[in-house]
Amino acid sequence: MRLIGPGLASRGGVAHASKVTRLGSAIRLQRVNHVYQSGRVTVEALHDIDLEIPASGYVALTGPSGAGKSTLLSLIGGLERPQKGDLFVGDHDLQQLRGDALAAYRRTTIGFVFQHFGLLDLLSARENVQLAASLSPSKGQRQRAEQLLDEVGLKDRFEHRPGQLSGGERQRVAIARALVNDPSVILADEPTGNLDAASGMRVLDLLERLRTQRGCTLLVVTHNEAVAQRAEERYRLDAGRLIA
Amino acid sequence: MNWNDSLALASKSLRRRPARALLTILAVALGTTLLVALGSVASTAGSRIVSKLSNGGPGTAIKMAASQADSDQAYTDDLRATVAKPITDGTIDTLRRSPHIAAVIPVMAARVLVVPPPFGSAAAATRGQPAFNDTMVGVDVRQANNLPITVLAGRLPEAKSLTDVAITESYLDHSSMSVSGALGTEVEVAEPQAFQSQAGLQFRGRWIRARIVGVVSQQVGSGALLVPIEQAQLARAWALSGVDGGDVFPLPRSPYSGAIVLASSLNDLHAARSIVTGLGYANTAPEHLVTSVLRYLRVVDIVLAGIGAIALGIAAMGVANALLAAVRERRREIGVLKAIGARDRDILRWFLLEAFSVGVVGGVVGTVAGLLIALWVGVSVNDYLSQQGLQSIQFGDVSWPLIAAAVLGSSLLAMAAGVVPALQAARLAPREAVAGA
Repeated sequence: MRLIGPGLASRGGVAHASKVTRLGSAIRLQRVNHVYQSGRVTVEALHDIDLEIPASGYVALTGPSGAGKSTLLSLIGGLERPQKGDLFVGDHDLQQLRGDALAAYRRTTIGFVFQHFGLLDLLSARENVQLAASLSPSKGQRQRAEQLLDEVGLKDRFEHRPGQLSGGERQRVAIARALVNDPSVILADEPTGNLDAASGMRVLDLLERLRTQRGCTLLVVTHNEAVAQRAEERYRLDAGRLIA
Repeated sequence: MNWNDSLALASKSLRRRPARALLTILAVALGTTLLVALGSVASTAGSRIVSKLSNGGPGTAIKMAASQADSDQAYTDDLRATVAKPITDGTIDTLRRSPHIAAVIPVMAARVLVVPPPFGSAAAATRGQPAFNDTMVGVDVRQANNLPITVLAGRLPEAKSLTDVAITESYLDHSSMSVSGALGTEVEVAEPQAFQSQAGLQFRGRWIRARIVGVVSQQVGSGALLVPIEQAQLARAWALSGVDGGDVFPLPRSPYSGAIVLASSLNDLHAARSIVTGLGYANTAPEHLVTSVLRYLRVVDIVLAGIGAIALGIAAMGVANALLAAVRERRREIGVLKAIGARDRDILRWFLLEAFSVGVVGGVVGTVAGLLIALWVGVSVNDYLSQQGLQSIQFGDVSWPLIAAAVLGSSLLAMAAGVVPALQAARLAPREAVAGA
């Protein structure tokens, strides 16, 4: 279900004039298990994960390296399908999605923000955002890209390539790209991992502001306790098991 | 992602590694160059050989005589003439109606007395070359391109001119003149007519004086002079207004002494020749010779095409290798694109267009280089031929089908070479986007 509008509905029944709230698009995992092969060793990445994230929620996922955070993010983002268990994002049953339908899900429902930014070096900031927009069959891609870059404070950096931008600026381009197709869920994998503390906090401020304005669900995977503390809810993964 | 977006991405991806892109393009260009150069030279040499076999005229030319053919005519390339059989305008029209025949060019030959200079009263005082009997061959010179006529020096007579004449080497031999010495001079020609007088059968001449405008090698008919057909027809009309000179000078009863019949194509040559033979006319064409030489030329073409194909194959492997390296380098980018919603076919199109772009650029560069090399070969060969006193070969004709085939072929080949890397890229798991992060 699409957004209802400012002040008309919100989580917990509290209306905020500046907040757009989406209904639906909750993330729900039921007894999700996932293993992968590392050489001859079978690694249990996720074990019986039960998790429910409300629509427009802001959740942080922490845990040590190898705990399964990225795997969980990959499953929710439709980068791979869970081997066992049920995974729903809004109306999408990810066990049932294949091929183009899965690509369409990633395109329209999910916005990814990576630790490594994931920008194409050969394209300018505008072209990177526009490329993501071009994946959706809609018009005005250039305008939307420029508008979003303006929104993330990069009005003067449209034609700069990633190599000509600072880490914080690159991550802001990545955020603009994640939002260009108006997703209902933003998945941020260590969004401040490659940034200094000040830049990291500014990026986080931006993510939170945009999430509030657009009513997206925000799931942040992080090692950083300071980042995790800013979320409304926190979960910890350890050895593939979810610890409240 | 539409085609324009994919093309822009492919183009920018190529520019990211300019050295690698340049080397890959050069590989394609070299393959195409070899193919185009070999194709051009082989095609020119092939048509030249066929032209030589047909005595300088088109390979589709059939030389038809105003004579009855014998029963073996259909089985040999040679002329198998028996008795006279007139060629009339009706015959020409019948032949022209056949779909296997592209053109019929009548020929009129007339026996003449040729008098090289000096002429007139001075001849008594000046020792000149003696007059000699020969033949004047009349053709429609506007269709000389379709006739076995090669201009060695000067030019052909103007159409319908009664004062221009071209000479053959036979005239030079009789007159002991050189090519440069003969060009521009005049020749006197007596067209004979037999008449009965009290002294019995006698001959008188219709005298003309014509300027020698060119030296030719021609196989239209045996003769020292080549003239517009109107001149030869006047000679015939003059002869017909006399009496039959018997074996010495029979009346030229046939309106035409022969004709050059052009088949629509080499494939139509046999059918066209069958029609001429079927009408009962003796004829000659290098049909069997051309067919067997064409078979050998075909083998040469296949061998040369094979060499070019090997070069292009190596280029294709270069394209595939470069793209495989690109796929390895761009695993994360491909993963990111998929993570933000790109479909497998978007990725496939990106890499295929990158390969196609390499093929197009390499194909265009290679085709231009190939044509230039063919031209250079032509200039070198012609230098050699002119040093040897031989007629030069016409090189440098632009074969548009060859150009189109080269550019399109190299582009498609490069794209085909990109299929495996492109499929590999398209099938990469989107998980690559977060791998190692």
